Amino acid sequence: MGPGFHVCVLPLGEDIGSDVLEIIAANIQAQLSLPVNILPAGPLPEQAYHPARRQFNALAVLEHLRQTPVPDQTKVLGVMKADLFIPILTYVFGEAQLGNRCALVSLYRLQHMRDGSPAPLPLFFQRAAKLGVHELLHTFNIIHCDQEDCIMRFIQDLDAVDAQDLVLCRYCSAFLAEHLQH
Amino acid sequence: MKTDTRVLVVDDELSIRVSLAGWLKKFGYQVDLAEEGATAVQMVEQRFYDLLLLDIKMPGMDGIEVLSKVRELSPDTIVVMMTAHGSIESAVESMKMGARDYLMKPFDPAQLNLLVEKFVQQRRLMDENRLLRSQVREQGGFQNLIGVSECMQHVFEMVRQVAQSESAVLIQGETGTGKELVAKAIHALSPRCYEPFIAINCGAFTESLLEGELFGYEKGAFTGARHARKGRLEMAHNGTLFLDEVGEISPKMQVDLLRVLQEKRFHRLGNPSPSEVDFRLISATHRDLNQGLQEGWFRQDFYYRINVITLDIPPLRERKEDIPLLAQFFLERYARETAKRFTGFSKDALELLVNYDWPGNVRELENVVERAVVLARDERIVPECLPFGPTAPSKPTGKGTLDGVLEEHIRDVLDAAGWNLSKAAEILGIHRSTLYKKMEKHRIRKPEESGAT
Repeated sequence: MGPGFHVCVLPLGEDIGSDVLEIIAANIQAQLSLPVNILPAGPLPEQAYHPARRQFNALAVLEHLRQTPVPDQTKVLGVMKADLFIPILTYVFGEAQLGNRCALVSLYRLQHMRDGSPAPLPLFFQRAAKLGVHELLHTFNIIHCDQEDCIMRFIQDLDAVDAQDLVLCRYCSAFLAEHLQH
Repeated sequence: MKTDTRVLVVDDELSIRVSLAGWLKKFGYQVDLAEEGATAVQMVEQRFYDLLLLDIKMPGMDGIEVLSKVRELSPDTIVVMMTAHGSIESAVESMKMGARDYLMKPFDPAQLNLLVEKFVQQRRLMDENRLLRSQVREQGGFQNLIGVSECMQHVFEMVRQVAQSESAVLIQGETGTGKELVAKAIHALSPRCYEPFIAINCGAFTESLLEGELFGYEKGAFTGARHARKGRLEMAHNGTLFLDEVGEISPKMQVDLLRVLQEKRFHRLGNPSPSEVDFRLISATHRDLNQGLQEGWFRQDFYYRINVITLDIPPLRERKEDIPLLAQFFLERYARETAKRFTGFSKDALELLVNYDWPGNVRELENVVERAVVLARDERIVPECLPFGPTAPSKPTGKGTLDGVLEEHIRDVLDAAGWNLSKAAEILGIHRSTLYKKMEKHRIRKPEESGAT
């Protein structure tokens, strides 16, 4: 689709498991029609950890990701198990540099149901794929969308993640196509 | 809509500013940042912000002081205070001074989203209310209709009178004169005002589609009727049905509608049992229906049924004294949409507007002002911003209408930007989703995508 665009999925920190990474990669490939490969795991930057909040600062992790040596026109999606925050919010499922190169998704809050019981594995995989695609699409300069059936709709909690189908509306598809062409 | 909303984040902490700006930008808001209170006050002096997210504790001018200055400089800006734990007292004090709410840092993502959406929505309502108030009070306006001319005052008077009756009204006027606004005004002043106003443009449908739209249908009534659907007649029950372009209705459909008007009941397609319906009918046309009667394409019995009272809306060229008022009204509307500030029109520009003949009437004037707002380089609309100004192309453009001019301007900018929508939107000063919608409206596609024509 796009001339030379490429996506790298980069596991960060403790062992994440290849299944979830492959599922995220496959869904990105299906939605964006771009080649995706999974890089060997890398460490999480220590300076990004906030001991008082027991979370990683997503902006600092993104800055660390930005330094990953990858070829031009490569988008990098970091995947991590630990919880994430940005300074103004208590937590985030993920974060991305709008129209830039790096995005990030945390699996921390996806592993459980609202009552605290473990989420069934297929549901966990779906959540990870949806959030991975959502955050990655921000790097293609796609903002949150008002269309109800679009994966770029703002995802405010797990219920919203589960209710959302992994589809792009025609507006966001057009913006993605444009970004890939230019 | 969000993309027209401008937010100013004021916080001395860089990480807060950056993270909040990043979060808001992903919703398409226009975000500016200030790290000091004094800078924020200067920024508010220079441009209008819909929403201010303001930290309370800052070195130098603190949030409370900024709030008091902003209330003075820009009373319509909604201010939300941000506070860390332990500064609740200041938050309460700021609420007393006119802040709309306060947030404890860090926020819950869902809470922040709801709050911002709520205030943006409130701002829009405030705009609408202010607009309505100012129309009525200052601009010789009436129910969204604007005009100080004698002929428009006569129209307003007629609207007031006919609104109270149940008689069918036929509104006649050239394209773009505001016939639907007149119909809405009649509905709004009528005893049916709390019931639905249902409009349908009869010229926009083929006969069979119009039949389905008006009468509704049951599941399986025809190939493709996968679900039962309510028609406009049913939707208008107890309210007002507005048949726009009534002159485009086929003779067969005129018979069907005449029966509904006489019997006050109808059949959904595919349903043998009739449904009772009660609505007030208002129709509009730009065509000469008398000629239709003579030539036989408009039925006499239907004509007399829909035309108990006739309202003629004058073309804009016959009420030139309304042009400055209308131009100012549209300027304010599009300035708000594009978050630009304007002081008004230059004398020359206003003269051009008043002397032009306006074949497309008020709609054409609206398009001209919208275009001028996009092209304007400073706070005054000058002749160069107008399609018939000194730098305007001498040959007739596009389809010869202002829509055509707008379409051609968009095409030119797209060409210049190499069909990069984001770049073109930036040049035009609109958000790319607005550009995309305008492209859809005008069916503008990249040359190689649209095929040879």
